[in-house]
Amino acid sequence: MTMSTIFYNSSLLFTSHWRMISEILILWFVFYRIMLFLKDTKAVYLLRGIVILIIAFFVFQKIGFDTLNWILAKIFAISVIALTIIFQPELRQGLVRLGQQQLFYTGFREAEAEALIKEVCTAVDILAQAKIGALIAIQREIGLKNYIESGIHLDANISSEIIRSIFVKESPLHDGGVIIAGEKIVAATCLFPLSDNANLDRALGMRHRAGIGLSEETDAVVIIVSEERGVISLAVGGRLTSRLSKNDLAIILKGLIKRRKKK
Amino acid sequence: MRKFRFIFANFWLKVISLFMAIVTWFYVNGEIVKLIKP
Repeated sequence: MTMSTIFYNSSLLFTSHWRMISEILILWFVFYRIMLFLKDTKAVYLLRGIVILIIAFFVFQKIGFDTLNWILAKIFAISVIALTIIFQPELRQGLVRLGQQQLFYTGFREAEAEALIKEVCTAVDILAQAKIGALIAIQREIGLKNYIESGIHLDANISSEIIRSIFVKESPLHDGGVIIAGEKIVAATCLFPLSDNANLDRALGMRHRAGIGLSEETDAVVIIVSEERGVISLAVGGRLTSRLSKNDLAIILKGLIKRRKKK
Repeated sequence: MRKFRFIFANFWLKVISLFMAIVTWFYVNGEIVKLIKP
């Protein structure tokens, strides 16, 4: 065997190993992200059922149970369509998350963000002290047009007084959520999708579920004030952070909506 | 140690997904080899 053959064979081996490892790593990443995404949803139970069916399929194949194998093969052939229907909400959310990898989101301008945070935090703090429920969504990269259309169009400048007057119980606009986009309060009485996360605290009311629901479907930052306890919460990416003070809220909001400085 | 804490976050999820990735890769490659050399 000449040196060139040895080199060729070893480089081939290295290349194939390199490819194998890369492919497995990519597959690992994809599977991990899918499992992480499905972790706290109802879909995980469905997935368990599917995994059991797949294992059964391979076991039947090994043992040679041809009839059962044939039936499962037919079920799998039909299940491609069934799965897209069953996992439709998860698929939609997954594609939205994939598309919202914040490549183009630049955030609010410094002054714009400061003013917004100051007005919103002041309003929320006063509402919490008075135990008046509130639901405020701040639009980021993903447009909230669908939800804006479900409410009453306002197009008002952001001020704590306007926010407070919207949520006062006597106000005809107090039901539903307020949406802030850019420098404007664009709509009130907006309907947000309710979260169907089974792991949420049962004590959480519809307002919290709506806030979490919107943050699951979009990248919006949602502030929720509970009517019963006067607690300020923040929902981002389907996760709820509760018992925030005015200052906590301001700090978190700064990090979430301010324009990132170029390094 | 704090730097490496991310390794243990969702540890079993990582193990299961790695196992699934390896099994899938070998299964699919077996099928591809069958197609190339029937």
